[in-house]
Amino acid sequence: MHDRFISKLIAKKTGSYLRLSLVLFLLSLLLLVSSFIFMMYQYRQVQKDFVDNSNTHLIEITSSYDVADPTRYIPLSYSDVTNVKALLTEHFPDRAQSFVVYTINFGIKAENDAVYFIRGTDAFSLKKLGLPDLIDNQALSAAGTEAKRIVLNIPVVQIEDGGYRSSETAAYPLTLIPYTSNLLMLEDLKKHKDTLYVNETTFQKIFEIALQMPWDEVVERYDRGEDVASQLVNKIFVYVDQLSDVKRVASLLEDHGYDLRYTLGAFDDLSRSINAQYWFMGVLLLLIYIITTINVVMSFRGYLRSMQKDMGILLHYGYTHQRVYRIYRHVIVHPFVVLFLILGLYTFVVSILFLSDTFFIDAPLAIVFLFLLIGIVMFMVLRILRRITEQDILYLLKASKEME
Amino acid sequence: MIILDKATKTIGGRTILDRVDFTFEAHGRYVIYGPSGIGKTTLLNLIAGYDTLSGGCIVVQEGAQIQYLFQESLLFSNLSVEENMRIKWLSRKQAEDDGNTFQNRIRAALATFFSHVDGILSQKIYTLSGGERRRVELAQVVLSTPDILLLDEPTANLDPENKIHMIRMIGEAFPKTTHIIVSHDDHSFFEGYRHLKLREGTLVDA
Repeated sequence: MHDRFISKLIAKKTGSYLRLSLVLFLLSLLLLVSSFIFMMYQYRQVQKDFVDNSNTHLIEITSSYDVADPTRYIPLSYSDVTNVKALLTEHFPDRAQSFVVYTINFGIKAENDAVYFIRGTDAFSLKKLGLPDLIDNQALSAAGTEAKRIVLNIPVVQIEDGGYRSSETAAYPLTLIPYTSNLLMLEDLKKHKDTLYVNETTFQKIFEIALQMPWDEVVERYDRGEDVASQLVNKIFVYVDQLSDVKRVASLLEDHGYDLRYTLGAFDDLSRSINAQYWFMGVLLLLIYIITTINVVMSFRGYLRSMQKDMGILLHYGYTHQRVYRIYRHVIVHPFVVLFLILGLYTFVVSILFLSDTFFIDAPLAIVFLFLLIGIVMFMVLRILRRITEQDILYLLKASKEME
Repeated sequence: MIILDKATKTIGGRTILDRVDFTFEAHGRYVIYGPSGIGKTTLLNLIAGYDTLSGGCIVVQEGAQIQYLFQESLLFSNLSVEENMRIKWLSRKQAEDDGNTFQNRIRAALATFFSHVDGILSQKIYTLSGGERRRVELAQVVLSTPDILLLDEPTANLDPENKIHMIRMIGEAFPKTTHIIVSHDDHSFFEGYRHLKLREGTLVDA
């Protein structure tokens, strides 16, 4: 308590140059913290728009081609589904997964006279891409804004002499769930209001009704190249967990004769320029920090050296070296605490404004960053203080003459 | 009692004190003379423990409280007399700071050297004359009730009348204290003091 009182008396002697240095330090920290928060804001945006965007993780396999003759287009077959799965399991186990979008080529008329085109996808894609959890006999539809019930009249198809004939229909009720998405996989849902997405089980049921044969037989015939009234495997998608793997997965698939479409390539340059920007800003801010740190540390060093005689007087009065250190530590720590409080409040307010979505993660991070910036400088100044207060009394009393 | 036993001090190859043997008796009063640069202040620094010996030893009575006044003023010039007194007072490990105790003690200490204590308390040190500063320092020493008092040129820059006055005040303020004073002043100012001379690194009677 006595030491704090003495610290207050001694703090009266703080020079205007030191105060100016502290103000400059405050301003540069304001700049650094603002830039840090802005970078965090930008990082979160990029995460949202780019890294966490499912489209960037998706590779669409549209068809395959003969590796010996790349101009020969081959439609996707069910064996491609197995082949792609095997490739991914071998080269990217647990890092990339494939799923299929099935399609029926012809439209199916409903009782309300509208014609719908059915797509089917499996449970994995629904879960991984954050789509609504479709139960059996439900369908995603971009038309309308409210769930509604329809009844499909599924034509019972007979394939004869390369043509199709249908003389009867089977009623099949479906509940339409309104849904729109920017997902690459669902682009036809967005473009064509008559497209419906159902889960794999529902799709199989519809197909079994239409062709009057079990699903396994449909798949078998399809892969033998027989006409099953549809290009059953419309598209195969590959979901890659890490963006850094996307290009490698794509190369692997291309090497095995698959035509691909994926969006990461378009983002690649953006990613590079964002990274370059981060580096540039990071280096610039680091330089600002180093320069202002040197300035404020040198100012404190000058201040402490000018205080050598006073430290010597305290020792002369009977204070121990440790007490002299404590007294001047109070003098030094106080302005840093004030700086931290001012900047902490500023960080808090700016974080609320710019990082509201991730406030509870980013604001503490920014405060810790600030604490480190101030802490490093304070640590350096306290080290200088320790070195000075450990000098013997005669040195402190006499060496100070050079400062006078 | 302070015993110098072959006390030797060498600085940069130059011998300042050369195996000095001497005993300062308890409650004794000593003035050390000698030309500038002969090592008088070094001797006081060594006795005060501010400097280390190159050889020999100095034995000071166990538990003895030493107070040392430098030739130059060692006060916080931007602070008031009262604040300086308080800082000195709080240097004691068990310093009471309940207001009354402190106020009574500093008033009593200052009253030893100043006729108007109230007028001096709030004055900043930089407004005081050299003699007044010296008296404030002596008042600080009174707070510590020393057994041994080391004074380096306590009467420097004072006129003869004030020199006599200052030496008398010191004698009255510290009656049971061992005084060791370094001075260039005439012997006649220091009545009742043993006069010593530092010559060629040894301490002899003047």
